[in-house]
Amino acid sequence: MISNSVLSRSPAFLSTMPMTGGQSTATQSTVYVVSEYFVSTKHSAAKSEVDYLESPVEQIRAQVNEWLSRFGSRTRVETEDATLLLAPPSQIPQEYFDSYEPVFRTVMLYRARVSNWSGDAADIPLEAQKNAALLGLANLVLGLLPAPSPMLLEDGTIGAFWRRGQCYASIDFEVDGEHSWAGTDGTKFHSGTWKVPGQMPPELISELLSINH
Amino acid sequence: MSFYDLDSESKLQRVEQLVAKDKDGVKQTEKVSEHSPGPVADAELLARSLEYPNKFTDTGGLGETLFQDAFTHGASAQRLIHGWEHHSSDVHNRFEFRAKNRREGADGRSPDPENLYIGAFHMTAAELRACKLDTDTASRVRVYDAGEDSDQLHAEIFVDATGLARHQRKEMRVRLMVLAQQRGLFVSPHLSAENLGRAEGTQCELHMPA
Repeated sequence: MISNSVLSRSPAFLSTMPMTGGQSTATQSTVYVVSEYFVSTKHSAAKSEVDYLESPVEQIRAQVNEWLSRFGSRTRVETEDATLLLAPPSQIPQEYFDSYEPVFRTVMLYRARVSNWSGDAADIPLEAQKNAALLGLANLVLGLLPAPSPMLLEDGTIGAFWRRGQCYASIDFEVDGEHSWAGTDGTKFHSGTWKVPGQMPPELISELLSINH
Repeated sequence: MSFYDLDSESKLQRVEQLVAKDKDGVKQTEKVSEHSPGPVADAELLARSLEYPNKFTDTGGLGETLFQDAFTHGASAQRLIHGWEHHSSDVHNRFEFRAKNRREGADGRSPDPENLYIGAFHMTAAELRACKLDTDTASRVRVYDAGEDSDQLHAEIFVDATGLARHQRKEMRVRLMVLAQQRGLFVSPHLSAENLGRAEGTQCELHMPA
């Protein structure tokens, strides 16, 4: 049983999601979609009511936890209230997870690399900023979003961006969970806040779709 | 007393302090640097350097970090008073010299062997000053003359982010990035063939050196 979560068919969403690891549209249209979100175990609302024996989400959680641990992170992820759409783990091929590996690796290395920069370099990310980024990225994985490129802002905040030609979108992973995002096609600009746990704003999803299609 | 003098006791960032001294931006029309030829005219073209890795990494293309220093300590640019053709050699050499100093570690800084000058973006002062949010009529971007004894055509770009929400500050960064890339990247003649991929990695139109 998954309480406080949404279990529903959502073929329209998945069929428009980019880069789902080679899934066919026919396959996508029949999968059950579960809404979940990763939050830090330190988060006050991290108590999950998910029955992991029944939840396919737990398998992804374990997979991502194992994956994060390979980078030396102490971060663990827990499920929380329903927000992001998620496909069962069998629908997420290893190649998709692998596409995120360099992004996670870069985030983990930021602390070491920045100390070698000079001049206009950014601040070294705090542990909390690094963890906010790791959790934010884990949620992008669950959202079946294509792997972004990481970026480091001057105050140590870590962000992620996607670009294809003139089309660009990005998210700043804020420690307080109110992630700023912005997107453009080169002429029109949009921006807003993605508050987590909470559903990714449709405008942001739209921006990401325009970049990756 | 110079416009660029700062209050060392203040906890405000450099840009915040300077913007507070010129809340309506009128000093952009005055000469604020004793070494400069005068204020930066709207029609003037400016060059902004692209450096690896502290403003850009070649994974995923050009990002909005290009102009993030305009919100904190100020974004440097070179004035192209007589146009790019006239100043290109000097500007490329200046930007390369700065990168070389960073690679080798100058002015008491530790060496940054990876630092690389990739090329320059162009934009006019008017385009920068007109860069605004749709929902905000305030003129947020300032361009001041900031000539130095050794570099009379130095300019500085500030963003007055007073009162902006975080996502609005972010959108301003993105808008400035888009503005910068509109004329393409003028690739440094000092960039070696093996590093040309860094320029290609911006996903911008490239203008190769003659």
